[in-house]
Amino acid sequence: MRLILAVLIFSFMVNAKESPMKFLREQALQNQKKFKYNRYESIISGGLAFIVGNIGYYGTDSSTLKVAYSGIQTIGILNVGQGIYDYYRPVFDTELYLALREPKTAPKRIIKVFAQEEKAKRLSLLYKSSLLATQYFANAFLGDTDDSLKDVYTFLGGVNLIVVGYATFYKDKYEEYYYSNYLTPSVFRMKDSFVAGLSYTKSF
Amino acid sequence: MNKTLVLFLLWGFSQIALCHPLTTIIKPRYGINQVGTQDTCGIFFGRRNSVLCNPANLSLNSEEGLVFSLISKTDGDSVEAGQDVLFSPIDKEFLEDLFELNSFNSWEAGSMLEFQTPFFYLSYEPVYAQAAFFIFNPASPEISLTTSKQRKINLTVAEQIKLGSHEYHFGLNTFYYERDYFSGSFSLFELSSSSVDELVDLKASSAINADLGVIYQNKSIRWLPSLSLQYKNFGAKHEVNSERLKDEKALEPILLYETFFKAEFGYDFKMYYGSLAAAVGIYTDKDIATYYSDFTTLSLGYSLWNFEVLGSYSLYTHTAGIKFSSSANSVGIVYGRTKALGDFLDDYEDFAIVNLEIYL
Repeated sequence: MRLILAVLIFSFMVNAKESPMKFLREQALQNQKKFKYNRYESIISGGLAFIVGNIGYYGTDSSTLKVAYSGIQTIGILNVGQGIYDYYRPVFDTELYLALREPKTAPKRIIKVFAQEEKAKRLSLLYKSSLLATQYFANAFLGDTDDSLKDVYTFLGGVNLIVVGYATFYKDKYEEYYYSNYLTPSVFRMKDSFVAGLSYTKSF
Repeated sequence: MNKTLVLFLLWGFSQIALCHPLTTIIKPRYGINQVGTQDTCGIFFGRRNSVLCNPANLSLNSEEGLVFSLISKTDGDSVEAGQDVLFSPIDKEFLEDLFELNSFNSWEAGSMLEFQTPFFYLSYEPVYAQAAFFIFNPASPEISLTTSKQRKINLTVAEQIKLGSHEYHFGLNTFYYERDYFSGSFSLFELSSSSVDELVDLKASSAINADLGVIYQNKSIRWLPSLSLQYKNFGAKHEVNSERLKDEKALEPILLYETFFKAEFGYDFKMYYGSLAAAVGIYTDKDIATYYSDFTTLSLGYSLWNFEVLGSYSLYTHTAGIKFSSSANSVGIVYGRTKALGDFLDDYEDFAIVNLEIYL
């Protein structure tokens, strides 16, 4: 009976689920930013698409191929936007693991990670919409473009311009809180005296 | 080993096909990778479309999702005339008009809805269409016309076996198709004496066929090339009309609907700056008795994240293309030159093919 009990306990120990903290630590160590070839791949392939798309668009007389090259221009800009997001975004698992390991700094670290995520999304949207608006207006007004396509490009350029305005001025709550600039009254201790004044804080 | 090599070379040099076929650039179940490499992309591993190059690639590919794709030959008078053959009602006036066009005209296009999981791959082609015609002997005009429309549903499964450092991947693509097909010739004078239905008799057919694929790779011996073998359209009743292949005034599509064998070997190097692949593809008939040497193809592909460059060379067709993808869609463009009728046509036809994929 003891032997059976010992075997059962041993088998439960072998198959037992690892602790949540251990699991999180493993994920934190594994889940670094992943790339297929290298960290610049999205920016390089996006930039190439942007260049090839523009050379092709202004080099062809065919309206079908113009639309196809316009698609490549758009893909290039979207990939550059993805590259910007990948550059700025935090690695969630690592940050959450560090927050749990150091409970004193946890609130600040959690706010920071959400703020970084929001900032990465906003900057990606801002840059890609700016480039898309410029690209579509250039397609509409430079080069030999059909009138029907000109209207489509002007409309798409306008839509992206509105998105640029939104992404420039609107910050979500975590980003607004963490990256906000603020002035506070402060008292500084000098050598022999105290000096009262205002301090300006800016987070990057 | 040496004996085998000598026998293979003797077979290769002695079995050169004496035919003058029509080559189609876009075939059923094609994406831009197939067009850009003339379907010599079986060992281009890790690309999204690799399962279309060889069904065995499914066991090497972990991608999943729903994709709608559209591929079409674009531009030129040749394309417009080809589209008219497929989409205009074929009557006497229309056929008479064809005799006034360029000597060779063709158009091809396909669309596909693909659902891929790591376990199976399901695709539906609502329409694949090709049309081509050639006008022989302007003094007494005779037209050779081939046209087909097809819809098809495919189910692909694959499995891999590892024996030490040897990796074998086996794939099976089973498909059901419904097709209207015509390949024939008639003269301008026959138009006055016969009805259009007699001259252009579209034959309807439907059946279940399969593509069988095997891939071999050995990652520990770097100099050993990877190998891709395919038996295409296994069980097909469609036969290439050998009389028309020998006829000097006939178009006959080849390597399209009939059963044939395809072998590829080459290398796919994964580097810090992307993935570079090169392959050689050879085709034979279903009995592996006739080697279609005219269609032996050399292909190259370079891939970096969502960017691909493709190129290929065969005796009558040369292609160069690019493909760019984002998380939502991809656009591919291939430029090429082809002698669609081989040595029968002195001039090369320039073409451009556009592929759009939307990731749903």
